[in-house]
Amino acid sequence: MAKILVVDDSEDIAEVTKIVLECSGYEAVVAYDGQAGLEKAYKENPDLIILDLMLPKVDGYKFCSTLKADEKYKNIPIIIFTARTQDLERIMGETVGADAHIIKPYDTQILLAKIKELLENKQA
Amino acid sequence: MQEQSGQKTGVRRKITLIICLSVLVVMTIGIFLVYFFGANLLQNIIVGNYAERVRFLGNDVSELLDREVEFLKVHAAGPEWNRPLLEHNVRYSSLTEEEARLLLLKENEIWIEPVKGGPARKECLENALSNTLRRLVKDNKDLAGIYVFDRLGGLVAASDESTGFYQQEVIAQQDGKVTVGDITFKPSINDWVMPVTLPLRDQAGKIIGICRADISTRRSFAKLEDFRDSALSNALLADESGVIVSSSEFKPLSKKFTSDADLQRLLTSKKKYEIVDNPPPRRGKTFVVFADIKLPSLSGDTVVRRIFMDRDAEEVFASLNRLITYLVIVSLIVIVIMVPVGYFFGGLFIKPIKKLQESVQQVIKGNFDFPIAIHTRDEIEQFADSFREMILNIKNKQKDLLGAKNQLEILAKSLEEKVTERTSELKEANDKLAAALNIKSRFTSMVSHELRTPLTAIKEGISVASSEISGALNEIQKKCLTIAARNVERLNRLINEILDFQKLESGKMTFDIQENNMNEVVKEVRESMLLLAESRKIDITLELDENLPLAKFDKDKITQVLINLINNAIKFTEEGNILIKTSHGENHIQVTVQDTGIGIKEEDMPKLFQAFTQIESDQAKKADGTGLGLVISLEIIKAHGGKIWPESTFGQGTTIHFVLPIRERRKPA
Repeated sequence: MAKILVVDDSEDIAEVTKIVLECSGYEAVVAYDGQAGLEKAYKENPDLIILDLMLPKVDGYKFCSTLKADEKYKNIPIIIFTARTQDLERIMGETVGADAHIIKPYDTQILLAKIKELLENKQA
Repeated sequence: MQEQSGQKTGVRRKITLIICLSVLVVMTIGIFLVYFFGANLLQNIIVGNYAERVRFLGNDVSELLDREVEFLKVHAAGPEWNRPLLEHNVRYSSLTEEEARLLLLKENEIWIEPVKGGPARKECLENALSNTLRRLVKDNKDLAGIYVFDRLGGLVAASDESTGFYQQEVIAQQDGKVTVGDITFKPSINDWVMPVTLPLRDQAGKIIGICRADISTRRSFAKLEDFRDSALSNALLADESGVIVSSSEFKPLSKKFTSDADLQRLLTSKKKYEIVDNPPPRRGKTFVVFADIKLPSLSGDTVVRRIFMDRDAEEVFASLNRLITYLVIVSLIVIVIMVPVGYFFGGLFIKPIKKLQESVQQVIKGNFDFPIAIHTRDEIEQFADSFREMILNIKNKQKDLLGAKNQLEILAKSLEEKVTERTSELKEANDKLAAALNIKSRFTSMVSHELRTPLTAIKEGISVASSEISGALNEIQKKCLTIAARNVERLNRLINEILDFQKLESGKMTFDIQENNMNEVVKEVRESMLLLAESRKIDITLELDENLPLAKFDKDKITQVLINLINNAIKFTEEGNILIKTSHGENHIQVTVQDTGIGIKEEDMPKLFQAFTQIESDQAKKADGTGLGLVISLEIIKAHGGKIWPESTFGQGTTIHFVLPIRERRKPA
């Protein structure tokens, strides 16, 4: 069973995402800020990370670049959660190494399809 | 040129006046000098002239007498003269003096009567000596007659009949010297004669007789006659005592011609002239000069007679007065001449000044190019030059000013154009902005209202599902529904806030102002917030002003403000306490909400009351909310006429104060 880390400062969104993932047969771990997210990532070594950009303490950009610079964790696929559709291109440019971008509010089916695709690519 | 109505002519008048005054002063000084010194001088000249002439006359008479005496002395010697005398004298040898005198008187009587004449007359006139005498008189024009008398005064021989026989007084006067007798008129020759007597002596030196010669004064007195050039002038011959013996008027005046005192003064005067009072009946003063007559050859320095000449003093001074009169007349004439001359010269001075004045007038009128043609080669020309220079300066300055003014006008015009341009641009922008704001306002309003419709549907749907009317839910379903309900509620609150802000911003918010007790409001808000606070382990304490007066405000809006403030305080406080205080001043009530949270950085303070701004923090998790809470609070407090302000130290909590006026002082909407 694949382990997915959800980092989002909105408790409600994190909780709902967790429910969606668990119901879809994944193991979900939740963190509410960047600092806690990185700690969870090092500790749990998840198979995939869903990352919000606006985070207290350590923001999404820093989180992403830190993890991608680490040889041990750079292969963990990261899905960026963003509500700001207008800034998408800029966000993509700044989050080099991120594997996918999902715009909030997200469609559950699309999210699950993306997760599946990324996990399959990783195993291949 | 335009003449000034009150044209001044003072300079011309002054110059004329100065000239006239100068002439007057000079003339006055002249008159005084003439009067005081000239009078003396003139007097000396006139008198000196007279005195000189009188002296000449005196000398003339003296010389005449001297000459005639010499002449007689020469001729009255020899036997021709002595013999008849001796013959006559013999007659007296036997007679006493008295008898001789009687004889002589007797013979004199016969002499006076020509009819009784007889031998004595014949004897006296027809002897040889008489012939000689006649011849002498004939040859000498100055002699009017020569008479020879014997020792006792009896006539011996005569040149004519005009004398008496017995000349007793002649003998009496005769004491061996030559004497000059009083001038007497001799009718036979119609002339004044001066008798001169001299003794005749024999060879032994004894006086044997007397010779008397009548010397004609005609020629000498012709000179006196010459002095009669003025009716007021008179020449006199007087003896030593001042008795007039002869006058040029040929009137024998046997009287003193002046008083003894005056005469004495005159004779002792060194000047040989004096002004003396006229003897009565004549009045006034007479100017008198005199000269001595002496017989140097006979009597040495003895003054025998004096010649006086008098002249009316008035007449002498009349010429002086005439001189002064002439001076005055000349002065007046000079003044009369000098007035036009002064006027002319004044004009000469004024002319360039007038030209200058004309130029000034022109400059006043703004004509800077008016020529100033003054070539007087003096200070006035210098002045004109300076004036010309000044005008040139003014002209240049004016030109500069005019240039500057034109430039200013151009600048002002372009500035005006720019202002107009900018104003229209601004107006355009403003219109656009107003339109945009209007669109935004309407858009926001519309969107917010439109959002509510689906939100209501969502809310109802969740509500129905959660109530389990449609069937039991598992735990995951319940959890999902709870999250959904919570977020719907949040969305609803956000929409309300946006609408409130929009209303406040456009001034469409209505207030229900009532008299309220702030303490009560604070207590109610605390009650409603207590649950939320406790869930965060935060306590809310009150510190209320017991004497807090009632104040006029919209209770709902102020409640909203308090909720916002307390919400913020809870949001940013990890653990601790929130303190709400009330207090009041003279005209206001104050509410303070104090927390022990993270506080606000100083640089973030200004952002606190800005719309859609949330202060980002690494410490706290992202605050949920629109960021409108404090802005709405600010607008509400401002709408009440109050004030809201923060006070914070980062890391030590935040304090927000707001004050409301006790009386309604709402800003007009």
